[in-house]
Amino acid sequence: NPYAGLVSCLRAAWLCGKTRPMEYRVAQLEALGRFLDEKKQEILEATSSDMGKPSFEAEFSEIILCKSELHETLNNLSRWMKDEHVDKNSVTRWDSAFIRKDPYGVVLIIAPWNYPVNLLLGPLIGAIAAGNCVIIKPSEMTKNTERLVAEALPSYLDKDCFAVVTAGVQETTRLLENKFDYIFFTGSPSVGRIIMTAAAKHLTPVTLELGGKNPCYVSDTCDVQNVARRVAWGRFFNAGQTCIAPDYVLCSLEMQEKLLLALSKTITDFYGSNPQKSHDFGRIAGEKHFQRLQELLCSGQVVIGGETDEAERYIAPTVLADVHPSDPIMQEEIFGPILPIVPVANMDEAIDFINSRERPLVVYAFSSNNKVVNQVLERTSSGGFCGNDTLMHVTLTSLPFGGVGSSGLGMYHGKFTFNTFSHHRGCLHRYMGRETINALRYPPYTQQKLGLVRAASEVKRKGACTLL
Amino acid sequence: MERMQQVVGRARAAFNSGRCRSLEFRLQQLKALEQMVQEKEKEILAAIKADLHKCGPNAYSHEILGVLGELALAMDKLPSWAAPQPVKKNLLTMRDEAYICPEPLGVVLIIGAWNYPFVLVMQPLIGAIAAGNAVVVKPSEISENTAQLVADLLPQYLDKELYPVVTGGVPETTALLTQRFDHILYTGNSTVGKIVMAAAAKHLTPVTLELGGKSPCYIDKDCDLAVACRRITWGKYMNCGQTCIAPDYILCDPSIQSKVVENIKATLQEFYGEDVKSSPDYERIVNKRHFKRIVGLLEGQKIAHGGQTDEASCFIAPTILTDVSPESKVMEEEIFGPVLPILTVKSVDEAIEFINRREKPLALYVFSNDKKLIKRVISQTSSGGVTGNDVIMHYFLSTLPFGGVGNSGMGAYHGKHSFETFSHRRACLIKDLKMEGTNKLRYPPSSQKKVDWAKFFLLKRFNKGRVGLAVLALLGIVAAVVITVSF
Repeated sequence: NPYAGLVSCLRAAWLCGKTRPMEYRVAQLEALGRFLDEKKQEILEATSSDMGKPSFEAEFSEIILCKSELHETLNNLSRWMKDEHVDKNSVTRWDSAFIRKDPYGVVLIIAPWNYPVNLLLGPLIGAIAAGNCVIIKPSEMTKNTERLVAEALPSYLDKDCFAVVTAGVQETTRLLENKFDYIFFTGSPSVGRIIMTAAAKHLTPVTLELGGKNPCYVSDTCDVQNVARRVAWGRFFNAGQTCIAPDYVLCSLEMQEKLLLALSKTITDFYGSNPQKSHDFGRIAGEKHFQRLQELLCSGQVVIGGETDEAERYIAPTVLADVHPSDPIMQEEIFGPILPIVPVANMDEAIDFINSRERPLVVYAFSSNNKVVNQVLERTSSGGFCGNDTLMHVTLTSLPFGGVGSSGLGMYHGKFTFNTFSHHRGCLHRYMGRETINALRYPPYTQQKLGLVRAASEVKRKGACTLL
Repeated sequence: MERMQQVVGRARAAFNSGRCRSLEFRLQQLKALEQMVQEKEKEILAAIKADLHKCGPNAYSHEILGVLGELALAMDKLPSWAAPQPVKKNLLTMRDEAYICPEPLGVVLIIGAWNYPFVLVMQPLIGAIAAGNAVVVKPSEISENTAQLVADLLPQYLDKELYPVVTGGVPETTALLTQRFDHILYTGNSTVGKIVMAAAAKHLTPVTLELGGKSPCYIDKDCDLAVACRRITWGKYMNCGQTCIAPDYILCDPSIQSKVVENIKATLQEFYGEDVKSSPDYERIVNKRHFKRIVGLLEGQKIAHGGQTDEASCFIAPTILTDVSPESKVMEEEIFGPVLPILTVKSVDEAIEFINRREKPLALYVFSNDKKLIKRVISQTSSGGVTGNDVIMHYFLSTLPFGGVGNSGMGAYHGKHSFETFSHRRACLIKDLKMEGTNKLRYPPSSQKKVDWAKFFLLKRFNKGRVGLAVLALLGIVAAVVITVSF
């Protein structure tokens, strides 16, 4: 077991209690802030080399969003760490009852390649805030970012308690043989199953941030141009490699026509007439994914885009029309800059379509009629929901971010990350006195004692007749 | 296998019909459960007696009282638990609707245990129904009378398709676990817990595992020994020691060991009289297998009190062992029986170290007059839950989450925590389709100006006072106007 030594070192540091004081956690978090500030250029360059990430996108998603989480955490840490006192019942009236937030111990964070800094630091911020020691495993797919994290991050953090491990599939499998006290994984459902199976061997709790096909319903009553902008932005950001990107559109044939025109205009507004030359459009992260996406272009009709360039791993912002549910592009999460439109007759058909498939990470619905948006919300199930926009629900740190069903289990962001990495320990601190009341519970058991116990501990319905 | 597919399939179809989503429906089912518990009280107590030799008042206070309490709480609070919770918004989302919407998960599986066979099935069931799910209930086959009763009663009071009961042993449970559920709550031991989680992993099903371990009980020199020992005796020997949160073993200074033994002996006399075997308030070991297992733990031990056994009736007398070695068999596994080992430690630090070298337990107990000492023990150890200066009692406060950590489990329930365990908290953001102005700063083509605006909107650390918010709102409006004009 090649990682046993590392894990036991971290566990020894954990047992010393080093990571528990608030001052320590704040110091480590502030160091993370300095990493983001001082290494900003390097991060932008690394993500650009790895996947042609436009600097605006990289700055927004990898730096700004991380700092937002960091600030939220630093602003609130002392409050989050406090014992949460709970309401008591008649038996415990004079006791102290609270929920203590205990760190788990040594936790493992496995990050994906699409937002290699954000999806690594986001969970890390919460894990540190909650007082854990952390092993960080950046994605091996984005080599430059992996190298940057492995070389630079350790110099900012306490090496006794935080370690970066670079590992491919084989090594990660060996890493998972060790016992961790929590595992946080972002990636595909199929690997999610492998992670959870490995975790089961040690009874390690997990958070799995997975994916799926996020449907985007566009009703007939809407401002088409605004819809086109918001959907295009969400779809083509990071060249479509976003777990919460709108994966496919459901709308009427009539709306499809209007949308195609609006989308065409939007794409030109965003990226110019030749997106390959735009500084604001990314590339596909690897050869394998590029090939996969190229093959999906045969579904439906290519109405916008469709051009590819293998040397650059460039796929143009593409919109496919008249896509059929059985087409190849509708069988897997696209994770690329291709937007299929699947025509449906009406909202009910759209909802049935969504419900007949696996629950996605997010459901999108666009309509100027609030009732329509609420109908889609109420009649579907998904990790999250965003009405009349895309992606934005994850920028609000007071909303939990996570999946349901095959799109994942658990959640994070803001306080939810802190809670994810804490064990909520129910604590009751009783008095040694008042033993006569306790006597009601001791044997010998009698009906009389029982009657008194009932009276003392029953939860009365409000408005229930107390004469009985 | 086919039978399981049918049962789960029917439950899923029933869930998909949407009928268990309305609050009225859920409240009606909970009311029916309450009726069941009240009308069939005698039958329930009789089944528990047959399974565990537990007398009426005892079984009532351990199994029925708690269930009635949870039902009343759930029915009272359901509307507030199920309501969408608005969340704090930022500058960017100021004009939007942002809230967390609790939703049912779908079809959930509850696997019960045999030691408190009724409440360990009913309490999770209450939470699962309240959260709007369909529920497959699998009571433990070891407590066969209660299992059969649950299988007979639930269909008489609840919706038959939504809440089926599946009885059976290991083969049936294994078959059941191949089906896809949207949450599994399992109460039992760590070995089977791993099997449940591995089966759940195939379907990416979240799990709540209520497992066990050896719950330590530290008695400080500075404490009222008589009271402490009475409380410990109650918690240890109730249900004949077959309680997941029973104090498993005692850690104390060698100088008080004999006093501890004397006090426990005196309490046992008070509780069960001279002849424990004939006390109606003392239970039996659930079956021969566990009887033999526990008797085996006594081998080579110094028995300070008790030790009498009778295989025919699965009787084991309340037993105390002294000067127990940490390496002995009785310290290797969760005892789950009326055998109380005492290990001596020279200080609270030694006790803390001892506890931390072992797997994280489900419960931890510490007795002391010194509040600081209790706080220290809590802060320097980890466990599912804690009760200071008593045992078991944190279980009875439903505002405290009840669950394990590490080997003792994952997840929690009771009260509102049950509702949350069986719900999906869906993040919802509803924006206006108009007001495109501020959105423009995020669209390509990019510019440094746009980056600066993004920083402003997302990174401002602001004070939370009313004046601060008003200023911010004003800034936001100004920003929106400026951006609309310049972009």
